[in-house]
Amino acid sequence: MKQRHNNFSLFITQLLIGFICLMLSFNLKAIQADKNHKNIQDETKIVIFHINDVHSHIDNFAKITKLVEEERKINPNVFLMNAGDNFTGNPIVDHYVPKGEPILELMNRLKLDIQVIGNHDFDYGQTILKSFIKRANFPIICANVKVYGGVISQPEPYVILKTKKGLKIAILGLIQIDEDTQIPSTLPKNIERLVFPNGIEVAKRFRYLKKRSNIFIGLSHLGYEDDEILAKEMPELDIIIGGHSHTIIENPKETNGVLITQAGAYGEYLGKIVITLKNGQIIKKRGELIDLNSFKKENPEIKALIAKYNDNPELNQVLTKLTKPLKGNSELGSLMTDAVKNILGFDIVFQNSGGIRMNKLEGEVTIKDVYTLFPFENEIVQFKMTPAEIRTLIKFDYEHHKHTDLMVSGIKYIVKHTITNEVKAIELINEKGKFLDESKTYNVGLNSYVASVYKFSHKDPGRSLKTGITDTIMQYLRQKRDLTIYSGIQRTFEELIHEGGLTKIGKTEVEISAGNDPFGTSTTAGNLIADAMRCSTRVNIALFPSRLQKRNYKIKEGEVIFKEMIPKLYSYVDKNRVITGYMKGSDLKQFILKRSQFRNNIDLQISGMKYKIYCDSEGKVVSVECHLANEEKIVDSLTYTVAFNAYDLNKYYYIYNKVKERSVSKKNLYEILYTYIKGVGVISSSISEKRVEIIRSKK
Amino acid sequence: MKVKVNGREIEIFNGALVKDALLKYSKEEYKFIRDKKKTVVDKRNNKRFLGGELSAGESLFIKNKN
Repeated sequence: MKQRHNNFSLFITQLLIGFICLMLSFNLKAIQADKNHKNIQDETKIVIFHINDVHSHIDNFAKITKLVEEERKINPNVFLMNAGDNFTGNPIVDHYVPKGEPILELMNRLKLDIQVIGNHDFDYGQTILKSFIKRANFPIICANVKVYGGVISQPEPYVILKTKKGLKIAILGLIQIDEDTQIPSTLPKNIERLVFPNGIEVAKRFRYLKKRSNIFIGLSHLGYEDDEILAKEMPELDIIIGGHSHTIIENPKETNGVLITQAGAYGEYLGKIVITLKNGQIIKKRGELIDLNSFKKENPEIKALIAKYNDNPELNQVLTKLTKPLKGNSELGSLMTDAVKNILGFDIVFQNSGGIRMNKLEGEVTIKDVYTLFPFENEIVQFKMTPAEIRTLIKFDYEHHKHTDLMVSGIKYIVKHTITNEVKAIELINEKGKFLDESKTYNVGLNSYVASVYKFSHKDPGRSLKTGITDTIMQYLRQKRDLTIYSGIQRTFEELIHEGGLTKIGKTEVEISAGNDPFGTSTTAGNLIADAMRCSTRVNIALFPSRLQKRNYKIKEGEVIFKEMIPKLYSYVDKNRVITGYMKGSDLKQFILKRSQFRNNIDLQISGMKYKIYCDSEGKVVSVECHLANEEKIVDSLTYTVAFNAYDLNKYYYIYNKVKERSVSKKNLYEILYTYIKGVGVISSSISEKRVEIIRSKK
Repeated sequence: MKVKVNGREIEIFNGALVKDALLKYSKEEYKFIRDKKKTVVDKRNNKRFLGGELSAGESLFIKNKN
């Protein structure tokens, strides 16, 4: 019985223990479950992706989409922000109809959460910006703009975004103001009836957003330098997502407790900020940049969309039809400078010849042609200048190039110089044929390259108008003006002042010059120099680079040639020695083809030989046909004696070793030409011969 | 406006970009950066794109690529 009692007691005890264990287990699970619940509620990870200064570059959007999509799959708290400047920088987008449409479509597809207006977002004008804002599926904010009857509506200064669990992110938008003009860097006409107070001062009025949010972000298009000032003055901000200065902040750091970040530009980087909050308070924030050029995954749909946009037929849009072709720097430079002068209202505009990258415009002129004519992203810079200051610009140009290289609108100018290129006087003549008023200040436009590189006097520091040259040329061409006025136009002149005794060495029956189109055909100067080289070095073939001929200098038909005139015919480089040697016909042809392809035109003047280069329907050089002067074909396997300009041969490393048994002439080009002209006595019309020709297929 | 490139003060037009200041400083150095043989950074050692906007008083430094 006792045993049975004991067994019963044991059973009860075991039952109790089991019950207690079960209860304990339930309790533990309940405690664990409660803790987990608290974790979810209390600690939240928010990811903010950001881009800025896309400037119409769309190629990396398929990668951005992929990265954001992947993060959204694993985290419900993902945001994407844009710190402004969508437009200007890629003709594919900038000339889409309507302008900028690809960017809008891509950003809507990306499900962008918010954007601040950047200065270049005004570049297409307020009407287009208004349409962009209206059709964007995301808010576009800006705190430091006041709309007084402008086309756009007053933007919201800030927006508060919420996570699914109700955490609040306040985002304040700020735009850069130029210190000089007190407006954002864009054309003033694009921001009429808008007033822009100082961004940092305005931001301080929104300190209260700190209390109304869990995260307070400055979405800034102020530029990195001002972002730092903003951080110092406004520690209420948790993060500044920046733009405008195109700064690549690979490892974002805190200033005054504010994390400042910026993702370079052109969609080459995607910024990623990870913020951890506990009980609604930020406990950790860190940023990084993802280099999109090294990231390979892409969203296929967006990739296909981008490919469609890149095939923009608008670039073939015809702007005007020329009844007469425009050739050479003088005609094309006059057209380009007139465009800037007339569209932007300057008195005088200058353009360096080096920036004119076509030798001829003919027939239908398309948007693509204008980008080929001037492929640079240079902006137009305005200076208020006196005639004396303008002369310092022209003098620098002349002394630097040894010829008048600056093309001009609004005036004609004459450089009076000695045989040694010393400038003695510069005459500036207005469109009415009168000298400029020396007491007056003129509104002068330069491209930003000239404004930066040329050394000239100017009391006015100058200002970029934040508009490009290509756009103004397009606007000008669309105006359907009479462009035949440019045929044969000449606005820059050189006048040689004879000082002291000159030494006569010969006479010429034809004008000796590089002509209007030194890259478009043989020139009398090019033929003469190449002939002199060939004769002096006794080779089969001599080649002289078209670019070393001096433009805007001519020895007139029937004129006496003085030895002092010789240096005016070519640019002085590397003492202009001549290298001679032996070369296979195949290598010679290959060299001429390569140089023609590089220039997409005639790069070499020649003696002892003739050649024709052929272009495809796109205008690209594809083949070359070479004959000796006696019409015999150049044979690939035969070897020819050749003479090159030493500077150029040394530069063309790919051909250097193809020239065998090289030797350098004792005479330099000056001595070669001097001896040749003196020996010949009279330069005959044989230098007018057309030795090189470019055959362009019709479009 | 005035900016500094490698410690040298450069006076450049208002609204100039990084490339404008570099061109004014040295055309050769600009070409190295354009051709990605060198880089340009700000005072915090952050790389800058050539098309970036400048503000008065900024300092730029040209660095050899690692």
